[in-house]
Order: sequence, then C-alpha cells, then structure tokens
Amino acid sequence: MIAAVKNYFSDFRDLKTASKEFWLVCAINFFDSLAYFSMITVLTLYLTSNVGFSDVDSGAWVGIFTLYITAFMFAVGSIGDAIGIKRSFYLAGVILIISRLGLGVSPLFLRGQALDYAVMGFIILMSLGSAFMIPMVTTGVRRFTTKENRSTGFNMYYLIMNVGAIFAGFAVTDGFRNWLGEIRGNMAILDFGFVMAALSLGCAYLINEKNIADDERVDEESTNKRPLQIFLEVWKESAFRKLILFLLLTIGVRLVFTHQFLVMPKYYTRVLFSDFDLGFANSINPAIIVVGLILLIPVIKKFSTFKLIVVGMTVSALSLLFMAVPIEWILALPGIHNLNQAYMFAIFAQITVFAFGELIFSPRFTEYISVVAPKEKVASYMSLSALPMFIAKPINGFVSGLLIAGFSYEGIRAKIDTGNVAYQDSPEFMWLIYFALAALSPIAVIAMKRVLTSEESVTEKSPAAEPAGETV
Amino acid sequence: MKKYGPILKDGFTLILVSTIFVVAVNAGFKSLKKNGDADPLVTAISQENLDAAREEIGGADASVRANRADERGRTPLMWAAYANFSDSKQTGEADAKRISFVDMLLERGADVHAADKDGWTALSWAAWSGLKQVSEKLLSRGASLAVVDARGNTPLMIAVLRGNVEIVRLFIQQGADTASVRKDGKSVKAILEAARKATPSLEPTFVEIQGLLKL
Repeated sequence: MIAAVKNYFSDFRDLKTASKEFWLVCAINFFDSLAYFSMITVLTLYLTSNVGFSDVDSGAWVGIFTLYITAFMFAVGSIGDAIGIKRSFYLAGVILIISRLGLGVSPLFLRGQALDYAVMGFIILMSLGSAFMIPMVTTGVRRFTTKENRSTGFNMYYLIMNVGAIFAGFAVTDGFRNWLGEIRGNMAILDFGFVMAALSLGCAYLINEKNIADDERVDEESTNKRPLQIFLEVWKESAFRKLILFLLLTIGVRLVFTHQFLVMPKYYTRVLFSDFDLGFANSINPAIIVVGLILLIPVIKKFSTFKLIVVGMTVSALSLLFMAVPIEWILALPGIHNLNQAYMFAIFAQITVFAFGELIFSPRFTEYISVVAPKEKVASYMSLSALPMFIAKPINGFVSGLLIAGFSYEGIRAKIDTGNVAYQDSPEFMWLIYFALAALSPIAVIAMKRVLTSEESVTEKSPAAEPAGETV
Repeated sequence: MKKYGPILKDGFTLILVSTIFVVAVNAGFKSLKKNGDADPLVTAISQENLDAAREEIGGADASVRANRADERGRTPLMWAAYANFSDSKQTGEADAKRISFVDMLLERGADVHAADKDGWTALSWAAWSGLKQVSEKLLSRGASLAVVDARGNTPLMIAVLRGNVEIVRLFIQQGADTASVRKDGKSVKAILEAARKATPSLEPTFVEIQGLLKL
C-alpha cells in the first residue's frame, strides 16, 4: 500500500519542469472546483428555500443548468480555439462573476416573478460560464504540458479537482451554512463562488498563452471541426451507433452520480434535520475517489474493461439498496437504536459503496470509447459521448423533483416518526425506483453484450489519464 | 467575423435545440405536477421574512389567504409551527422568530383547528418541532390537545416521542390526557419507553418527562 502511494506521488516529479502557466491553470482548477461543487450542493436547496421554487421546479432547473452546460460545451471548444485560451478564461471568469453574484444577491433585492426570472437568467448565464471554464482548464493542462509530463499533468488535474470537491463540501458548504444558517448560508456560498471566479480571473491575467510546452499540435483531427459537423460524419458508422446504444444502456447507473446534487441535499435535510452537515456527506465520494485513484486503480487495471464496467455498475446500483429497504430493516441491525442512526447508516453505506463502484466503472468508460472507436476518430467519439447524458439530464431533473415532492417532502420526518408514512409513500420507495432504474444498466449491458462487442474486441488499453468521477 | 460565423451558428442551433427540448420535457411533465407551485407565503415564513409574509397575505382576502392549504392539507399556520433542527439553540431561536408569524396569521383569521391530510393541526407540528412559545400561543387561541391524527397520536404523544420536555410540561399544565391510547394500542407510557430505548443519550430528559407524566 505504501509502495502504491509512493509510486503515485513519485510521478509528480515529472511536473518539476512544468511552466508557471501550468500551475496557474491548476490554481484556476482548484478555485473553480471549490466554487462549483459547493454551489451545486446547495443549488436545489437555494432554489426552494431562497427563491421559493417548488421541489419540482428546483429539480427541473438544476437539470436545465446541467443540460445547458453540456449544450454550450459542444460549442465553446471551437470558440476557445478561435479566441485563445486567455480570452476564454477571461470570458468564463466574467460570466461566472456576474452570474454567481447575481444569484447570491438577487433574493435580497427582488421578490416574486422578478426574482424567479432573474434567477432563471443567471442560471443559464452560469451554465455558459461553466461550459467555458471546464474545457478550458483541460485545454490549459494539455497546452502547458509536454508529451512527457502530460499524463502526470492530467493526474494532477484530477487530484486537484477532487480535493477541491472535498473542501467544497465540508469546509465551504458546511462552513457557511453552520455559520450563517440555511438561508443566508446558501447565498454566501454563491457569493463565495463569485470571489473564486474573481481569483480565477486574476490567475488568467498572469498566464502567457504563447508559452506552449510543445510546438507540435497536440489535438487530434477533430479540433478544427465543429460539433455538428463531427456528429453528421460519425452518425453513419455502426461502431458509433453501438457506442451510443452502450451509453444509453448505462445512463440509469450513471445518473446516480447526479443524485448527489439533485436529490441528496433535500433527502438529508428532510429525513434527518435542516442543519445536517450535507457538505460533509458530499465530501465522502471525492475523498474515496482520491484514495482509490492512488491505491485501487493500479490493481484493477489488470482486469478486462467490459467486466470492470459491468461489475462497477452493479456495485453502484446495489448501493442504492441501503436507502431503498424499509427503514425498519436497518433499525433491526445491532447497534442501531433510532431513526437518525438508521438513516445515517443507510446514507453513509450508500455513499461509500457507490464510490467504490464508480471508481471501478467510471474510468473504464473513456477506455471503452477509445477501444471501440476507429483509431483516427477517437476524439470525435469522445466529444459526442456526452450526447445520451445531454438528453437524460433534464429528464432526470424533472423526475427527481417529482419524486422529492412525492416521497421526500418537507416535514416527512415528523410523519415517519409517528407512523403516518407507509413504505409505498416513503423516501425508501423513492430509492427503490432509482434502484430499479440503475439496476437496468448492468442487466441491459450483459443482455446486449453480443451486440455491443461483436466487431471490436474490448481488451485492456491504458486510458489517457482518465478521471474517476464525473461532474454533473 | 467570417471565422466566428459558423461557430455562432452552431452555438445558436444547440441552444435552440436545448430550449425546445426543455420546453417539450416541461410540457411532458406538466400533467404530473399536482398543485406544483410553491406558496410565496410559506417561503416567506421559512425565510423568517415578516415583511414579505405581511405583503403576501394582503388585506382584503387575508383570511382566505391565511387558510390556503397545500396538496397535503398544510396551512401557512402549520408551516409557521414547523422547524426541524438537531440543535436546541436553533430550535429556540426559530421559536422566538416564528411567534410573530403565528400572531400575524391568527390575527388575519388563520384557523387554529385546521388539520392536514394525516390529521395534524398546527399544535401537532409545534409539539413535534419543540416550539414552546408557538405552542403556548396556539393553546391560548383555543387549539385542542385532544386532537388525534390518523394513527391516534395526540400532541402530547408527539412531544413525548421527540423528548420535548418543555412542551410536555406545558401540555400537562393545560390538562392534556396522559391516559390516551394510540390506534395500535400504545399508551403514552409505552411511547415514552420506546423513545427512551431508542435514544439513551436523552435519558435525563425522559426521566423528567416520566416525572411530569406521573408514570
């Protein structure tokens, strides 16, 4: 184990020669991760408690936010290439400053429909800012590293992103909410995001974009093509259609990751208590991912990609059972005496088991895409692999809002305490529905294995510094 | 500009497609949304913004507005009597703030006897939440201690199972029936014993409640 840790960190020596620009991009990555993960943890709560959206509308708007990020991301790659990395960072920074500040202060000055429309506008604007920021950070890492240290550079990028997510949870989210209470805490978290965007802007100012590490073009063939062009080209290929089928089949389990931000915050605060440390709970996943990246990845690389995807998805789907079984079953476990303990056990068991499953299957996705794609079209396939999630995210937003409103409404704990909630009306039943959706993924992939793997042999292939974990 | 034209065209197409998609999904889910909109009065109460609550409730139809229930039958008065904190300090602060909302709602004709779909009145919610001042106010305006929910829980039983000792004391002083029995046959004593077993850390509280109930 110590050897694995040493081995992992010894790679970072490669970055000794990395330029100032690489480290500035890392700083931007850290500031943006802090802001993004703390904001997304409280967004649904903010929309309900601070703005007055219903549960359904809150879920829908978080879904819409993630949809627009994906939509804008398809377009901003080309814009980034056209205007340059520094200007792209400026654009992202300014948009995020305006939108996060707007969200942070609007409830102080506006009410009613004026507040609703202002918040909707700022959410769409913020999605545009995030769509610029996320790909520009990876472009920056690629551009300011050499062929020799690029892989380590990406490892550093994922480490920083996950460390940012950990701090965003227990330090930023819980810090502000415990200090200022729920209502003012939520707004302070968005204002904190504004400060982080301003710091990112400062870092961008210091970047010399001409200081490219390698003279040769690092991008692949699709760099100069626009997304719609790429799509029209690859859609005719059977390998691409198979890939889309595969990605569609796996949506059920991959959407579980988005529950962390769409469903969990309200679930925590309603089945437990309003002052629950939800940031801490959301920090567990990235913490396990960081540890797993160091200890587990070198071990599991030995197994076949397809098997790992199926096993990882099955583990992740099964994790939902902890929250889906009747809570009386958990109460029957030794050492668990009351509902608070039972819910805490279910929540932390689910988070932990899901993170292990995610750690196994998530990095394998990119590996799988790189294996099934024709050699010269890997980048095109990669850029379009977000398409099924693009469709699923807003639907998931609406569904999560409906399920929260139906099974995890404000005040439900009082009714659970007094025996007024039957299983079919309980939050556990909501998780059973999600479990059924998630369980379909590994079952469908196994059932369709022959179709999915008929032409290409899916064997081991080292991914190019792939992340474990997803952003929404 | 020639360079940006196709990019902007693609961007516009993607945004248009996304927006059409969102509108279509929203329309698809619209039929599933029952009474979907949140009540701004309840939002103002949750935010403890008294001015906004006064503005929202208005003057002319204040009584109707004060008694407008949501899809679960919960009125603004019940929302004002609800808090869910793990920490007694925060509960105390919420109690002190909510009393102004309860006063305002009662002055504008909120029905203290209104019950939600499970049979909970504002007093049941205050008993569960541990809001003593709110409970006192509701009792002073005629709230009933004899009300039972769908399971037969009285406000006293709810306060006992939550270990809200000050509420139990208040209810006993106001003549709550300590001999009532729930529909599943559980007495107040049985509820106290179950709560005690579940939360050993609150043993001193439950001992005090036992004394108050004279069990």
